[in-house]
Amino acid sequence: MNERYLIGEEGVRVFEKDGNAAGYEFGLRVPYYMGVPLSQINIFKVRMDGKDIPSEDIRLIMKTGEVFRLSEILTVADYHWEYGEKLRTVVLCEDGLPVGGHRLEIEVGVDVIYMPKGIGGSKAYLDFEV
Amino acid sequence: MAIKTCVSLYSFQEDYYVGKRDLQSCIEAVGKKGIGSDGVEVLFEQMPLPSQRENDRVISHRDLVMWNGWLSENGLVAQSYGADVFTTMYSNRYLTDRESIKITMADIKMAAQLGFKVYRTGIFRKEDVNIFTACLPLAEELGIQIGTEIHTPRGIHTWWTQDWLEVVLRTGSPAAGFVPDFAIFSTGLSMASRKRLLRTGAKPEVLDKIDESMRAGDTLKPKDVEKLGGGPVEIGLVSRPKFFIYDDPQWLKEVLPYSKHIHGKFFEMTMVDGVDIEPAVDYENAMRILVEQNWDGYISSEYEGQRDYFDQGCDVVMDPVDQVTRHQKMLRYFENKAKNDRDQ
Repeated sequence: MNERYLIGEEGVRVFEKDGNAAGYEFGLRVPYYMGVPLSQINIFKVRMDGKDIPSEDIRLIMKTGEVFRLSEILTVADYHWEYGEKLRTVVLCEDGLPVGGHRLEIEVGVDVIYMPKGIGGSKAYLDFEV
Repeated sequence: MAIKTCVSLYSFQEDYYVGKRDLQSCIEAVGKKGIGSDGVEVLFEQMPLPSQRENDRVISHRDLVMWNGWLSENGLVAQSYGADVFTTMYSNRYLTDRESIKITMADIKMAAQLGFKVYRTGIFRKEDVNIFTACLPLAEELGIQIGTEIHTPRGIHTWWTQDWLEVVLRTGSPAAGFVPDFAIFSTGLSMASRKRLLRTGAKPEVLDKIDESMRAGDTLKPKDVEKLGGGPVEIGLVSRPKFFIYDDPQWLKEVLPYSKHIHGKFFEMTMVDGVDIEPAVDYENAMRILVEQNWDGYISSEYEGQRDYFDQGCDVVMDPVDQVTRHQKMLRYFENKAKNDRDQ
């Protein structure tokens, strides 16, 4: 759902922590027609250049500044990933991305009542240069 | 008694999603400065007011003043509150009935606070019938109707509608009703679907033949589509009539007495034989029933075909204001046609 708009137009940028590069980040819009609490997300996968990013290396940063790991979002019912919000998605990797062409792929899904279980999430990709 | 128009802000979802419009701008597009509709329908889980999140479904005085100001400045009635069904808010389980009732009641209070007349929700599981039944006394007290949507493929003669109809009749509660969605009168392919299928490699002449047999009510099998010259994309269409059903428009009479609001679902306005219509939905016969029954209520234009252009790589952007304006003209066209036929 919403594939062409899922990955934010700003693309992939360097993520800095305490003034140092600590990974990369991108914005992700909700794969649904409404905002949802993070607890409703059932699929959140990131691949870079064909390799799955381990979920423990992913952080989600809220507009409020709160930071969550994917293992924590099931209990986050009080923060809504609003419709249109480009949720800051961070991949921690100390070495950053090497110079050259890259492909980011994502698959995200939310649990909704009228969709059968296990049908998978919405997929999108972005080709970019570093 | 009159058929009044309404616009669901769902129609502007793309503009909101990409940041071209905010809630206020959507309302302005619908009201007297724009399309000139009588009422507005909002999905607040899509376009929330700030305090809805801050205060957990209690609207602040400041937001309420702002909201009421928008309505009066734009000459609009708060007609239908498009609710979410919250049962899957935790992805590892369904909410219990008690939890669902609690959150639905809070949501109904918020809808009433904002002045809405209809709380549009939906029945998906048997449990939902009990959940909404439990909310009826509150809705009655607040003067708002819980309208469960009759949405394809959950048509009029399915348990999703009939079980709630039983509640409507048994309780006699004015707070229990329906929101029929006109896509239960689906006939064939919409122009938006057709264009999407063509982008994914479907052959136009095969789509024409499939569309023709859908309109004739034939049940196509994969083999039939192969014989027509179709490949995997076209074969995927054989299950479409299961999801886009065609109920007999006469059946509307069974639920209209309990319906104050209708979803005028449409996908893409298209010129056919010199008339601007939605060729995928049988508006002509559905509107005829509303006229015959002297129905009093609001029809909400609910534009959905923009979603057919959301595939990756597509760069078409539709104009929702144009689409909704043309849809509202079509509603009046078929209303007048039915009145002329009746009066002859």
